[in-house]
Amino acid sequence: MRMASPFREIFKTMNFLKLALLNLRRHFVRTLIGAAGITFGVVAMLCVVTILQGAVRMFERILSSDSEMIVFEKNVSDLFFSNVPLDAIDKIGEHPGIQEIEPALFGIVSSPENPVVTCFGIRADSSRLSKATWLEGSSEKFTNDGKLVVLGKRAANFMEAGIGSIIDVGHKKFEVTGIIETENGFEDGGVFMPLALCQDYFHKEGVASVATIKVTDKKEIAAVKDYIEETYPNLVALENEEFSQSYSQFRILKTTSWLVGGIAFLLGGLSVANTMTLSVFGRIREIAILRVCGFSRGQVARLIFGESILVSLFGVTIGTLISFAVLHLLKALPALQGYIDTRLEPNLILAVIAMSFITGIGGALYPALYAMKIKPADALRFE
Amino acid sequence: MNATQSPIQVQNLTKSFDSGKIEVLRGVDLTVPQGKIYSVCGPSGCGKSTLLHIIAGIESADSGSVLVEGQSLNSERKRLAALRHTIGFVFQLHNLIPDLTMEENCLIPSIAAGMNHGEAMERFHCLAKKTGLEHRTKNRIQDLSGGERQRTAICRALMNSPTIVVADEPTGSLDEKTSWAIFALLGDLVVSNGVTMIMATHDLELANNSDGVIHMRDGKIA
Repeated sequence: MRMASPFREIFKTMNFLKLALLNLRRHFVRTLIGAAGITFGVVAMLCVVTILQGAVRMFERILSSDSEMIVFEKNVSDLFFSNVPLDAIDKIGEHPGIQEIEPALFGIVSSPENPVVTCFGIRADSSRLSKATWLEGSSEKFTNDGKLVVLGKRAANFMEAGIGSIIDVGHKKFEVTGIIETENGFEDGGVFMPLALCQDYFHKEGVASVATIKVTDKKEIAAVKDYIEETYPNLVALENEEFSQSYSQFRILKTTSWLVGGIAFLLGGLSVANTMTLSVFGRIREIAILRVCGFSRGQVARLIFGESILVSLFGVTIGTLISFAVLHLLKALPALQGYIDTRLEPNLILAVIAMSFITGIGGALYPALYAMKIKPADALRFE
Repeated sequence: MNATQSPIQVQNLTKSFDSGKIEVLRGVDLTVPQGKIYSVCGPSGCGKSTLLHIIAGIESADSGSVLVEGQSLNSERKRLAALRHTIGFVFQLHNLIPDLTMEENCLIPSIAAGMNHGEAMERFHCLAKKTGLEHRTKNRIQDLSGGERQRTAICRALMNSPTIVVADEPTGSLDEKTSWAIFALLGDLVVSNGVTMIMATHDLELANNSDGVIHMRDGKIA
């Protein structure tokens, strides 16, 4: 009895899947080894990409700080080397399309006992302070001409500091007037200084690293950008997204993450290819039997591809679960606390699933072609 | 016998190996009537297995023609269709997949033919009962005896309800008692299903119990 076409195709596919699963179960160790390659590839890719892109996101948030645009010096490779004159920032702030402009000076101080400390030179009315959760103290004593600093929660922890503590930041000592908690790991591990104090400390008098701009209306962005670039040819004004895509450091980080992840995935793909090739070489007689039982060359190829894709999907499932665990473990490590953003982006997971699918097909190409060429009579005669 | 009514018709079949150096079949002609069991006898190397492989569509001939149920097996597509729907093949060494169960082995042809699972299971249980293996369906092949393995191979060959069974020394690896039991089983299944069978055998006594005997020598019908 023949069934109607769509149902017949579904049954055929289900039976094929069952047979593919059966074959994988029969060669469990081989299946595990193949899947392990993909698993390591997935873990490497998800962890590397998530960590590096998380770092990029954190940097983006530090730089953009609740704004729509960022202004910095033209042709600098790193924003730590950017110098935007304060008088230019104040002048730009008078543009009618700008609601708010905030200068920020960034500096990094290393310390033999503590992790790297990022210093933020900001004005007293900065949204970085007003939007943060104040755990201790308040913004009252953080004044533009003051000498008191505010610590991020994590910085306070590793410096073992509280209100009134005197902390060592590089070669100088500062008194703490407040402790804040932010969502950003780098800010949470940072020291917030009045802008003038920070300029003095880093010998950057009269300048900031960047200025972040909140516009009155998003339609004003183009006009503001044109105004800044025409008035100050040494400065660049970019929308946050534009900046994120063009900033060379971010591009390097993103490219590196995809490259490292891609190579790891490629190695996983080779593992699948190796497993499937060995699997086919070890099953020549079996494939000949399938052919004698009526399997076409195409059906044999479908079976090999099916097995390979199942191995890859098994690997990607286990790899994703392990990645979740590894990322959460890394997040919990005291040495890395706050520096790692462990959110696994759905798009990244989808990309990894798609890559595992492609890897599964790629890895099965040669074995499937080999299996298709097996001549049943010869194989049964000589194997 | 009217040749046009014969499900198996072979004409002037030739086959050689090693670029023509080894001639295995040298102009074989034969017909097998509908619903009959024919045995092909002859010494080792006379071309019995090659002839059966070509009739079953497992191998292609160099020249000559094979008509199975009136269809020429001159292309891979036709040979495949014959293997799926018309012909069931039984090997001497059963050629089952050892670490699959008896049931899983038997269901393979139904997957190739795209039969739905329920229909295939119904057919399988019917055959398992007929072959006396209904209590061994979940056993792996490696756990079955030689006779049970050969009965499984017969069961697999009959899964897609073929009209022709080609058996290459189906009793060759079995003891005498089991050989007769397998031959009887094949006979019963062939008769009850109206199937035509061509079987290679060394056993003349067994061959003489079939409906016709074809003797081969040096790649020809003797």
